[in-house]
Amino acid sequence: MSELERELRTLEMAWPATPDLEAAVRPRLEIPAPPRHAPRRRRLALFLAGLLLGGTAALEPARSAVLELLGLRGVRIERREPEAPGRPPGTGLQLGRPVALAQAQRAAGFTARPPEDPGRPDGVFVAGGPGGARISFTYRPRPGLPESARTGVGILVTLLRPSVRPVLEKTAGAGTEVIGFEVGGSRAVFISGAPHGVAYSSADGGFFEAQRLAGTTLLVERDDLLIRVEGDLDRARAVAIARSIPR
Amino acid sequence: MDRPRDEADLVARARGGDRDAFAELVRTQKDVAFRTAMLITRNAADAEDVAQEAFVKAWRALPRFRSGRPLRPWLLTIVANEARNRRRAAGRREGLALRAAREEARIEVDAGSPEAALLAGVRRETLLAAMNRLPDHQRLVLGCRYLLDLDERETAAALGVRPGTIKSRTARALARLREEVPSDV
Repeated sequence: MSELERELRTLEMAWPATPDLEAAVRPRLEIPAPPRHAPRRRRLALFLAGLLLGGTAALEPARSAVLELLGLRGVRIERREPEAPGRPPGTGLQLGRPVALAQAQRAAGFTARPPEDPGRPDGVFVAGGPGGARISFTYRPRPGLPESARTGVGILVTLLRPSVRPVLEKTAGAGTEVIGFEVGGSRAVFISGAPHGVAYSSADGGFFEAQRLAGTTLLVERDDLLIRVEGDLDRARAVAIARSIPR
Repeated sequence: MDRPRDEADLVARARGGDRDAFAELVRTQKDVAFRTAMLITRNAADAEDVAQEAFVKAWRALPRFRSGRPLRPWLLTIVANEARNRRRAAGRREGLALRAAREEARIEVDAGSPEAALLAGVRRETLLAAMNRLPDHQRLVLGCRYLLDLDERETAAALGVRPGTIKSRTARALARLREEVPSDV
């Protein structure tokens, strides 16, 4: 290195103070906007099914083979205990601590009300864990809400804090169909077909949850919440349920 | 719980929408982003706006960033484009020249006499005055390589040129600088 280069390198510069860019930038980090020209289906690619901490789910052996294909080697699959009478539906699904509806918000620490369609839930659970608190509402099967095999639950509506984000990655699994669309200006994804799960990222890191009910999963990113509706539902029904969650 | 904080991990999390991870990336890159913007805009207020806009654009563009690549060249491309746009919009104006740190905090013990210290200070000012007179692209390549210690890829990103051209550009800029600076005896 020449003398001139050495001088330049060792020059002590009076740079103007770097402004507090984290504080200026952070409030402007909106939910990632979709890339402009990518076709929506490919953009939403498919949800990652695997790689992170395993959730537990009551699934048949054939379905566990599919999970293996998707790379979920660490997933623990448990047989669900038969539901005891008198306990809220969903008790065997490891949804957390059963609470009374009136306590749910305080227990979870964020505003969350059940969908007005179908209405008052039969079970309410609060759990902590990766990604923060979540509230789960369960509904027994009833006309219009077919029973999801053996769980005694018609639909499961989960509300997660907005700091949790579904991770969009390619999935290796065949047979899962993912449709992306918008619900009232919010991004949404509807997953059907083969057993699947959802991976999330959060301030605590990433985690994965297998679906808890056989059937379909709808995810809606509303600005104050991440809403998940599971059950054996068609898209229109799932969307109607999600839309009926009061703000 | 200990979490790996290396860049690749932060980028992966930020791509998934983790704003805290992205804010951490901002923290680690903000000096270089702001100073590179300064080299181009020559104006601190513009550089601040440029750096802020660049980070927001980087957030939106993250899904298209191929993981495993180094972040900084990619980020500096965004910063430099934003800075050049700002310069074009702002029009030519006499901006803040590069300044040397004042030397009162540093008295080199082995500098010998006060005269030697004074001469060193004069030399510094001369050098920077000469840099400020260089054409923009030459000031920029020297500023990136020597004042900010950016590598060739990062410098190329800031200039918007191919990395293979940086060696020759640097050599030419140094030659030009030497012409501007009276050499030491």
